[in-house]
Parts: sequence; structure tokens; C-alpha cells
Amino acid sequence: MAKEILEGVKPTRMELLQMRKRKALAMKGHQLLSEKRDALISSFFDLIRKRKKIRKEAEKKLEEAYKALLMAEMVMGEEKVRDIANKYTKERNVKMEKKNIMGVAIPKFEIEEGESLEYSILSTTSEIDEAVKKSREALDKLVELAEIEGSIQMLGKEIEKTKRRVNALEYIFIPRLLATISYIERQLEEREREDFFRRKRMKALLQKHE
Amino acid sequence: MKIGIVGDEDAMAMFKFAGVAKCYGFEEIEKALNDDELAILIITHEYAKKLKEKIFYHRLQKDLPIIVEIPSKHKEVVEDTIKKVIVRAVGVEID
Repeated sequence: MAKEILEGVKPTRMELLQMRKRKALAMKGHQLLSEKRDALISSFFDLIRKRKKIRKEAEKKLEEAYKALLMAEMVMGEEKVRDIANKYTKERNVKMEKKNIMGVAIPKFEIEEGESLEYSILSTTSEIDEAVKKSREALDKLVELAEIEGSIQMLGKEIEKTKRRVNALEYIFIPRLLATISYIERQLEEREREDFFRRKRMKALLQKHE
Repeated sequence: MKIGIVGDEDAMAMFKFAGVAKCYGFEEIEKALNDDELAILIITHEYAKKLKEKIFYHRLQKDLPIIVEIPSKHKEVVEDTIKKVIVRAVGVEID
């Protein structure tokens, strides 16, 4: 199968020059994009490594928090604990900033310190305090984890996109450009040969007449 | 921005103690995913397993809220949904 060429190309010298320029540009773009891809992938791996560590820590904290909650429930009864949880929630929000890694916006969270819970000390036990403390710690870790997982997600998307672009350039666009260039060159050569032959023939005819 | 939680009652109680205000039931997941105020959505593993497809598509389409899966109280082996994202990006599974 003949290689596909770009559509709407006239085999002229001007076009040839233009094609050569486009080829140089495409090659440069390909080079840059594949460098970007490699850099992205290496920071992606760093993130994955980091995530593994933090995920483990977060899971440990969560387990502790679950245990503390269980203790509180055992001492005070499930109903009471949930009641307190529902009534005295103090919101803690996060502040989000964007960080930039290789042109990818990556979230950065900062947890805002809310006020502490105001439940009555008299009607609760120390287990509740413990549960609150532990679950707050767990949330802090989870926010950290979310930051990394979010970064992984966004970097992953960017890597996919960059990869697709690199491949499109490498396997479709550049071969097509090369094919087009050689097509134009062949056409030009052919025309030159025709021209050359025509001139020869004219010369021969003229000589015959004389 | 806010943090949300989708999970069983124990997890909800725990995160309420921690200061998470937005709690969603299992049916409200759509609402949670489309909430512009949410920055992070915490989902317990049991629910995440049921919502696998939805989470996957959400991750592909939108950046926020970021979904974080946590193990639930009855400890199970957690199979991460984020692994799918990793596999899509680099083509291999990495631990």
C-alpha cells in the first residue's frame, strides 16, 4: 500500500519548501513532547511511591480512629455517640491552591483549623475525646492522601494526552509529511525529465527542418 | 471548599467528629459528585465497590471532587480504584 499523503497538496517547489519547514517543526514538536512525557512519567512514579507510604499511614490512623469510636460506643452506647456526632459537628473546610507541575495544575489542600467540639464535658466520657482526636488525625492524613491521589489522577490524564500526541506525530503525521515530500520530489523530477525530453525532441525536429 | 463523605453509619459518625459536614447517603452519590463546593469526597470501600463504574468515569471526566477510598470498619482487603488510572497512564500495574 502506498503511504498516504496530505490532502490538497500541489506538487510545486513552493509547497516542497513549505513541507520541509513543516517537517522540521513536527520533528521538533515530537522531540519536545516526548521529553515532556518522560518527565511527567518520572514525576508520576514519584507520586505513586509517595502515595503508597501515605496510604499506609492513613489506613493505620483510620483503624485507630475506628477503634476509638468503638470504645466510645461501648462506654456510652451507640445512640448517644451518634447523637453527639450529629449535634456538635464543627465544620472543617479545606483551602485549595493549585500547584504547577509541567503545565499540569495540581491541587494542594490546606485544612482550616475549625473550632474544637463543644460538647458538655459532664455528660460525655474521655472515650469521646479520644475518638474525636483520633478521627481528626485520620482526616488530616486523608486530606494529604487526597492531595496525592488527585495529583496522580490529573497527571495520569495529562500523560495519556501527551502520549497520544506523541504517537500521533510519530506514527501518522510525520510519515505522512515524509510521504508528501517524496511525492512532490518525484513529481518535480518527472516534470523535469519530461521537459528535458521535450526540449531534445524539439531540437531534433528543428534540425530536421533545416 | 468542603469535604464530603459517603459511607456507612460508623464512618459517618467518625467523620462527623473529625469535622466533615457533608454526609451523603448511597443514593445521593450523583448529587455529591456534582457538588461544586466539594473538594474531597471520601467513600468507604463497600460503597466504592458498588459504584466502581461511576467513580471511574467521574475520574476521567472531572477533576473535583477528588475521590478517596477508605477501608470500612469491617476490615477488608482494599482494592484501589485509582490503580485503573495508573494503568491507563503508563500501561503497567505498579505497586
